[in-house]
Amino acid sequence: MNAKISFSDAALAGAIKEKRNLDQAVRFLYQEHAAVTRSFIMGRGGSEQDADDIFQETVISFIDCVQKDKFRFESGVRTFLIAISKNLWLNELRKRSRADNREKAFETDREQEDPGVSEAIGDRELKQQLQKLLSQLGDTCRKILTLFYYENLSMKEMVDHLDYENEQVVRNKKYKCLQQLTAMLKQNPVVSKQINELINK
Amino acid sequence: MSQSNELILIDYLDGNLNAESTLQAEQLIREDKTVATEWAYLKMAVEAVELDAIRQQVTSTRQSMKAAAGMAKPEGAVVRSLYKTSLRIAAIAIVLLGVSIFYKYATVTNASVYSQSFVSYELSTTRGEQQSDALENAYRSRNWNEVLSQYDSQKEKDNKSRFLAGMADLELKKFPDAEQAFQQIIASNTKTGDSYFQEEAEYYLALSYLANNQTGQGVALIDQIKANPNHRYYPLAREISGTNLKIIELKSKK
Repeated sequence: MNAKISFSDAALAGAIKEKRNLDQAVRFLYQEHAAVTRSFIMGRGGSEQDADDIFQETVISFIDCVQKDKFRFESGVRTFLIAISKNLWLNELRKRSRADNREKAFETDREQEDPGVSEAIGDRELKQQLQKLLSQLGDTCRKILTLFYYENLSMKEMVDHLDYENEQVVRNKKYKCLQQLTAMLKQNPVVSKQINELINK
Repeated sequence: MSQSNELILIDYLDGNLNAESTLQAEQLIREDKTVATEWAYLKMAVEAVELDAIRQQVTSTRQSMKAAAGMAKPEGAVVRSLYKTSLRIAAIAIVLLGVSIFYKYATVTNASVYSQSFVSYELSTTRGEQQSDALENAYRSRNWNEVLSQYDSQKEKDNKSRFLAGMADLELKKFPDAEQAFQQIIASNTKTGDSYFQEEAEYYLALSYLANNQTGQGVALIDQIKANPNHRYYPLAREISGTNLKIIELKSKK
């Protein structure tokens, strides 16, 4: 099926928030909004791969933002996505130490209108570390924690998705997985720094 | 932190508490810094799980789109020419740059680099490790003087206890003592060929050097960590501005 899907901004946000048709929503985001971001990044020293990576991060940040009710329609979806992409790319350029005049000129492109943008991006280094830790957690724990904390399934529903006998076994396993993940977070210096700053604020 | 508090937090996180217990959990988080820290880690864990789930979904959709479209070509990618800046803007930019360089030079010090780079070390608690020794318990309670007292009374010292003592020294701003503790770890590993607490010791030794105004040694060690992406403290070392390190090196030579 190659039929083009269409969503209004509100319908798109609704689908993402409710996790209904999430696959279709992601397809729509790519079909409608990837090209303009690609133009921006490739026009400012980025490669095709950079454009792909930045747009993927943009979509992830946007979905996270919508699911946490942080997207408040202060701007349209397209404007918001472009602003996220621009900010991510400028941050990436800075990281690559291209702190030359060209980058300074691009700083004027940084979107300031929507306060939700910087909130949506968050700390990319932190997000990368979190991703790295999750990939080290092991498939079983990853699945259990995803089913519970992202899919919001009950213990009873989780038994159907997992190879465990009953709810109590799943509950114990989920507890151990959460403990394992928090122990890994504590050992990670980037995460510890973030938590320290949060606690000592 | 006690196991009962940990269970309360997880039940609170999972929405399993009644109204009264919820209020108690919230009060506990407000009033006890150790509990607040554990709570922050639990929330971070959930954040990590959510982001991972979204990433998996997006990656999977993207892959299936690419497979279906045979890697669709970008639509209308327009490579714009670089912006032309006028001489006037360039002149203003140069003046502003000069002012910012002067300001940076004046404000960057060993102490400022140290304080921006120092991160308290968190000792993890896992189930089945409740019999941890008095030194570790004191460390978890952030009772730094007790950590040092327990360390001094230990007959057999290992790298973990040396490291925790070094961190307690840093927390108490006893920088020369911290430096000594971290150096002992590295010396011990060199002798035995182990790497127990090696990377932790290297990062915090570098910071101790900076705090003790041994700038050259501190910067060299930070550069060494920055050169190794597999180093546990690489992400933190990378965040330390190379310009700031150059400035403090320059100042130290004056």
